[in-house]
Amino acid sequence: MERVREALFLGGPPSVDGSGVRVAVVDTGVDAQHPDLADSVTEVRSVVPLSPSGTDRSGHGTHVAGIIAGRGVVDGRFRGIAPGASLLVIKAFHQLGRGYSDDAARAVLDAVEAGVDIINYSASFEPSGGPPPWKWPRAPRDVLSRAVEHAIQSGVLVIAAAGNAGPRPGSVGRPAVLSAALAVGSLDWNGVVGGASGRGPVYKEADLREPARYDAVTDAATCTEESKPDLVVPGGELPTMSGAVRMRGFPLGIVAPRSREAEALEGLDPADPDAPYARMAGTSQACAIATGLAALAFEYSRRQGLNLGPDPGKAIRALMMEAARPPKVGTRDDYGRGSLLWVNLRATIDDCVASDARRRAIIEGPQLRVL
Amino acid sequence: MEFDATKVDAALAEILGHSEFRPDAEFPVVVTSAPGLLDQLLGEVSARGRIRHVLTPLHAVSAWLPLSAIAEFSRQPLVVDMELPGESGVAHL
Repeated sequence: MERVREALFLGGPPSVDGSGVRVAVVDTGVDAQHPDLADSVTEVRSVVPLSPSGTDRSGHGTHVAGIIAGRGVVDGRFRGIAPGASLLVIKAFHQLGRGYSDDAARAVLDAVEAGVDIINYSASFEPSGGPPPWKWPRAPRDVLSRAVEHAIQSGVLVIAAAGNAGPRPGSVGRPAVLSAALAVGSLDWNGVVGGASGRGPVYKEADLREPARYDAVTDAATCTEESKPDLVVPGGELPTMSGAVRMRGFPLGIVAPRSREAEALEGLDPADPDAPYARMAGTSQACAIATGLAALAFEYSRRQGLNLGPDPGKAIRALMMEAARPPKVGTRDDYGRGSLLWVNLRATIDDCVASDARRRAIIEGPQLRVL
Repeated sequence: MEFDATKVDAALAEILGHSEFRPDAEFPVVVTSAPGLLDQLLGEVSARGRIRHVLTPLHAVSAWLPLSAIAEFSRQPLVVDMELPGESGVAHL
């Protein structure tokens, strides 16, 4: 997290920490007793029918929660992006990190009912039947997509991992493929879009009920394309270079809190004070970093008196998209609008505070339309 | 097994079309009602299977249902859509 914070906060640390912002983490549960999370996690639930406890036996949910709002109590280097944010963690995936879409949909609906500002969805439905490119229905009717659409229409910002099925085109998973969700891809330690990060475009067909493989030769006339992911942030992936360089300077993964329950399952000592952190990488971690930045943007906008309009979630999404800048390598199908730094996001908010015309252009303007 | 193919997704249609499954074989399914009819649907689904989730804003309920009931529900006017829940996984490497 130290390296990520240094990268994201070029120009100085933020003056806000996400205080007053409520984030739902739909994941594998959480170790709510972890010292870094004990004060951040305000509620834990489970919607997994056979696993009523919110205990995290995977470690993924605890890691994601720690990236968003870990307080760095054990080691300040591993503080999260928005340590002042409060977390509602809803377990929707079991200890192997898998779950059913109706469980996830229920978690999303519960988060909306709880009144959260942001939903972090560090998971991805990747259709069976072959590798990408995938083709999706234009108007998805599946239960998870409908729940996410409901959340977005309720003013909640839904941030979803692009998935790790890259680098082939058409490899962004659901629900990140939904137009109004904020789809997040991952950068490696060199600032290049990671090899596994889900890529655009998103191929959509009008009457398709289920995702299927996209055949660019025979099906092109029946499909349209949408740009995804929406933006990229660090996800802890190794740079695409020689193994020797990897071993020397680029460890895989971002360091964030580790679930003691998962440690116990792995045969480690859960009471070991020297091992309360773990390394994980991918668009899950990138998604959590984007969520942390969104929490900072919510608080900063409120403190600056920025009028976010009737739909704060869409407004923050538009500000984040506007503030993103293309990285040095790649195409729009790799990185969307670009990579996001706090200094650019803060400057975009400041611009909107200073100029109502600018605010309207960004928050109410064409950026909110389907890209 | 006779079912309304316009209301079920491809995965569920494949299962319903398989003669190898017994009518009492249970599958998880999301059933969506016409607006305003969720209570009625909930009552009928509860009588035939085990409820997993009530998804009120979506006018939907998910439940374990026997295949025979799935086929019957697809033919009912109060049901507008049925799907087999997809599997999703967390996105770390």
